[in-house]
Amino acid sequence: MDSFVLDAQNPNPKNLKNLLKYEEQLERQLVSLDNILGALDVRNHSLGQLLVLKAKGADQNKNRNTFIDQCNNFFRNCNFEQVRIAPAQFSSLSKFYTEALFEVRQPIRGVAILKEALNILSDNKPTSNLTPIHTDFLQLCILSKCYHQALPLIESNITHINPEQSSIAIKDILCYFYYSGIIFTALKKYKKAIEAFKFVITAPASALSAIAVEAYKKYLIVNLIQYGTTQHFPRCTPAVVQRNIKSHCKPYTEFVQSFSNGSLNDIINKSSSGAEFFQKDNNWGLVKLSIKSIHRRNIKKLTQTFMTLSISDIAEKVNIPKAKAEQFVLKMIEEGEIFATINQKDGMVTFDECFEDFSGPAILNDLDRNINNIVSLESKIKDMDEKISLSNGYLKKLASGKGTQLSQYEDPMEDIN
Amino acid sequence: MEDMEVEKNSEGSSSSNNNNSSISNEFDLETYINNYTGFTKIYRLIFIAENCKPLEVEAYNMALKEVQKTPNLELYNNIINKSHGILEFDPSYIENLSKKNSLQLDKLEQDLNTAKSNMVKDSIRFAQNDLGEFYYKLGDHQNALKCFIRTRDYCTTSKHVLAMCFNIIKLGVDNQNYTHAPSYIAKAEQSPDLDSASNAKLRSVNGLLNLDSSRFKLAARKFIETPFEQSNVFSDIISPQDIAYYGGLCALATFDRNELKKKVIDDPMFKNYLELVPELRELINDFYNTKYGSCLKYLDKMKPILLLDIHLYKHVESLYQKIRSKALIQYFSPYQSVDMNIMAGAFNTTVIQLEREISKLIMDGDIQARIDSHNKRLYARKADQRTTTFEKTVQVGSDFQNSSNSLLLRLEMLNNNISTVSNRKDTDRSNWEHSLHHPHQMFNLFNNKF
Repeated sequence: MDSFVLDAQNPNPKNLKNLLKYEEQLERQLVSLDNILGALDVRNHSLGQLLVLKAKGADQNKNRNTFIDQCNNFFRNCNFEQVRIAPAQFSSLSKFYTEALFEVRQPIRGVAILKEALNILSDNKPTSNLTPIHTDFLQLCILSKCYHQALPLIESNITHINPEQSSIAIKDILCYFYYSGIIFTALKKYKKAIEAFKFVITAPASALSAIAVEAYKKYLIVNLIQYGTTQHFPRCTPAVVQRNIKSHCKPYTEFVQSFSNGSLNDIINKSSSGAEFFQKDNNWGLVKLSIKSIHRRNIKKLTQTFMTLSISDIAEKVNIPKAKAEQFVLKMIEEGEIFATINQKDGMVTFDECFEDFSGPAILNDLDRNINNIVSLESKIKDMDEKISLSNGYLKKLASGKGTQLSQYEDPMEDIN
Repeated sequence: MEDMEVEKNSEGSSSSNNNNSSISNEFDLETYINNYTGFTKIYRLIFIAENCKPLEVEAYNMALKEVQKTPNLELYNNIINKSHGILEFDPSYIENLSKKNSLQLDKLEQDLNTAKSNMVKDSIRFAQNDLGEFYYKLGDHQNALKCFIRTRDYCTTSKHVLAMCFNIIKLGVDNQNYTHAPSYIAKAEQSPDLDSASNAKLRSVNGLLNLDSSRFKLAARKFIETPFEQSNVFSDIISPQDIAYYGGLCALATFDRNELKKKVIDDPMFKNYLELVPELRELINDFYNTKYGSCLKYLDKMKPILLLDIHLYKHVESLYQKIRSKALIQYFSPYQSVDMNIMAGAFNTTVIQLEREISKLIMDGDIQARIDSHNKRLYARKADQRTTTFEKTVQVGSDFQNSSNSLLLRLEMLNNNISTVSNRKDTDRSNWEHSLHHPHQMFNLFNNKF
């Protein structure tokens, strides 16, 4: 092991790659790992430390608290250049770290640390390049309920991945979008959640992934909460997913069906008959929310139909008890979902139309941001287009296509001659 | 308004006309049923007997009389069974008839065989047709259909083809089973010597077909296009009064004002039909002249009679609903705001009832308005073009961004050869089963939180 320490301390960066060959050896030396770690300096010998820590992470009997402390120190102080040599090892370390935090039930300790670490494998562009660390970060955010920490990240549009640089795999990508869907749902940003879940099921696939199945379940129910119906599969959904996914979530599709044609009783029946499944999948709360959303949607519809309406009429039309109706209306007013005033003296609710008049600096800012987004998106698309039109495969195809066309033209000429 | 008051008084006595007992006064079974011949007459009588208590005895007796003119034993038994005691079996009649029927059947089959052995096309067709006709009279529709379809091979002139088509169509209408009808209607329509009588027949059957499948607009068109025939040539299917009723009501439910004026009220051909049912003509005129109160009153008065029609009864409710909604929409269309008390008066209904109807129409997007339930007023809603444009633009923008972003990422994944693949092929990376229990165990998030 001394040779490893010596190699790790070697200041010549060219030799650093040699370190990787010690990986397996290290995993057999579990007892002395702490000593080796002590011999290395975190800033100058980052790669060595990374390998040692990774080997330690694989050990099931490690002292988790010390491991977490060691990792914290490493993540804070390591040398990015060195770490980038071994992206796969770094990703697994971050996985071990996340797992350890979960096992000691202190996920919040890792949120800030991993947020910084996002930069390491993403070329300092964490909002456009996806890395495995992103996935772990989101997982910690969910476990510690620090959704706001993840929000800026998941609201940005990620369009790049680089497997060589970050060793990212399909599971990381799917989980990343699955987790962002969960965070959006928890923050009640249902439209964005739907987009995130949609990506999971439309990701390229030649087999059905369990992550896609879970995402599809949530996709169905969040759609119910937001729109009260469900959408068809997006056009780009892989055939294998379209064919097979429904058989994995039968109670869900039945529940969705009851929404489109059933009365409230029918919906509640369906939800309770599938309750066991929903609870097992931890989606029971969402199912209950989706049932509540029916009343909200109905009340919202009333605002478009009536200018004034008494509370008892609302209760009758939406089919809920009178006391509850007032609560519902009050809550919806508070949340800005409807614009109305309640007159308790004669029990009348006056509905106003939507006040959003699309003027003022806020909306201007919003539009400006969106336009900028689209402009940058356009340049990305142009890049992609250029890349494709210069790629070998495309040119080859183009050339062969032209060849046949030309020969078609040439043939009749020969006949004439 | 004054007109309406007067009418209300004059018709006050019959306002309780949903009551069956008054039907017998207004509805003359004898004149009604004499418009028909053949089996439809019997079917209609049975239908009326089943659905209208006061006319039951009369209708059953008439049906029995009619059925005894035919050799159909099955129907005879049917009627007597259904009449639960009003009519009685006549064993000697049954015996005689069944003997006679089997003799007749034997004779016809013999005829057919002789014709076949003589190889004369026309006589085979004739014999086949006779046999089919007899089966039809016996009520054996399946065999009748078989015979009629067989005549097809022996048709030499287009007249024969036409006759065959009509036989098959008639069978379908009697059974209210329209699976064969469309193709034979199309076939018959292509026939070169289509006289106006058969044309009328085809149109009306086509209308019936569309009515049966609730395509009211098409049905209305077909009925209105039906040429008027003085002599009642298709009394074994439908009477001219029926055409007026079916066509008029379907048109009222589906046509807009212009169409109604041009195609119904001013149409020279359909006018003839409307003359047969003056109330219907009045009603349509009232609707066109926005006298909805009297129009709806006429409709209410007509309803019990329409419910006794074998073809129309199942569509009466939905047609009435449609007509009513249209009347409401038209009534409101020129106004900025309307007092619902007055509106309710114009429609012979209560304000609460009206509010319910209008709110449904608003929710379905048929009326652009909002209800002030406190002051019982209805206000037209102005569409704010600017806001809707903004909303749409923002929506389209974000949709575009979302779809392009995920498209780019998917492309990137494909470029890097990253996709979900089966476990067997690729074990080291996408071991997805492992990831399954991950989210499961860890996030107990949505279960208890809400």
